[in-house]
Amino acid sequence: MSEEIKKAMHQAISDVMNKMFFLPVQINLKGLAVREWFSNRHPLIGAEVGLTGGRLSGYSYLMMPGAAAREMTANFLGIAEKEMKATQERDTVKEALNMITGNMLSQCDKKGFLRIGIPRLINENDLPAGRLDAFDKGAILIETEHSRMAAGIVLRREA
Amino acid sequence: MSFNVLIVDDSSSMRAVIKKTIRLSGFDVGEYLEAGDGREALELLSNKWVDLVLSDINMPNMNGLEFIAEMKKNELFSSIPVIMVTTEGSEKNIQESIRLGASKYIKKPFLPEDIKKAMHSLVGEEVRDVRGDKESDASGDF
Repeated sequence: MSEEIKKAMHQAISDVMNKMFFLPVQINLKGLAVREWFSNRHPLIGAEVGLTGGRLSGYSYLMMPGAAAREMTANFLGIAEKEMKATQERDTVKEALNMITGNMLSQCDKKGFLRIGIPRLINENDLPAGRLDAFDKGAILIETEHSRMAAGIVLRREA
Repeated sequence: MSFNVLIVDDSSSMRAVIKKTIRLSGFDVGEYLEAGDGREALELLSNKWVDLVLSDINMPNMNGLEFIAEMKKNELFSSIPVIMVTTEGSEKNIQESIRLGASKYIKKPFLPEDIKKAMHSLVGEEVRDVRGDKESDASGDF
């Protein structure tokens, strides 16, 4: 991930989490692997969205423990966690990624070269072996008051 | 006089947040209609009276740009104002929205005031000031 993209991603995460989810965040710069970052082993949920443009393709992602997704959803919708439906939680995680990715691209891809796909949900249990480790490449580790998240963008250039 | 609002977004959570924001802004909305994509929205427009549309761009089946293009082709719907509420902040998409006939755009993430301000300028409705009227640069006129 280039420094420009990383900076834009930091800004996007902070803007989206503050404005829409009322969650102040801090970016952790210790350089841990995603697996180490979520060391308490609560099941993770998240979302990924494809990015395409010319010879570039890839995806961005957002992963977090269920508790963080519930806190985010409760803040977003203004409802108590006990009133929350699983569909609302999944939808909110996808929308958070959509907003982060869109916000990040509006900072570093002003001409709209990259197109964002439709976000899809990912459950840690559904990931093929090693997929979580693939997220390590350029992962941004995020701390909220009560929890942790990881986000990133992976782009490849076709030969 | 109350007016009907159609909210088009594939995220049901985002539709709920936009609806809540409008409600808290004090607009006199008669009916809130919701669609998950452009196709559903066109179907609703054919069956219900709509005074204002708020639409996302990035949606499955029929995206927001395709939706406005279809909407503006139909003389029954072409005069309905459309506010784009979207993560797609590139100049290319904004210009395309203008060309197709959108009246305003609001970038996600937005503040409640951004929606209130955009709606106020389009529907000319007196609003009850619930949260003040803080200016924000997240919304803009075309």
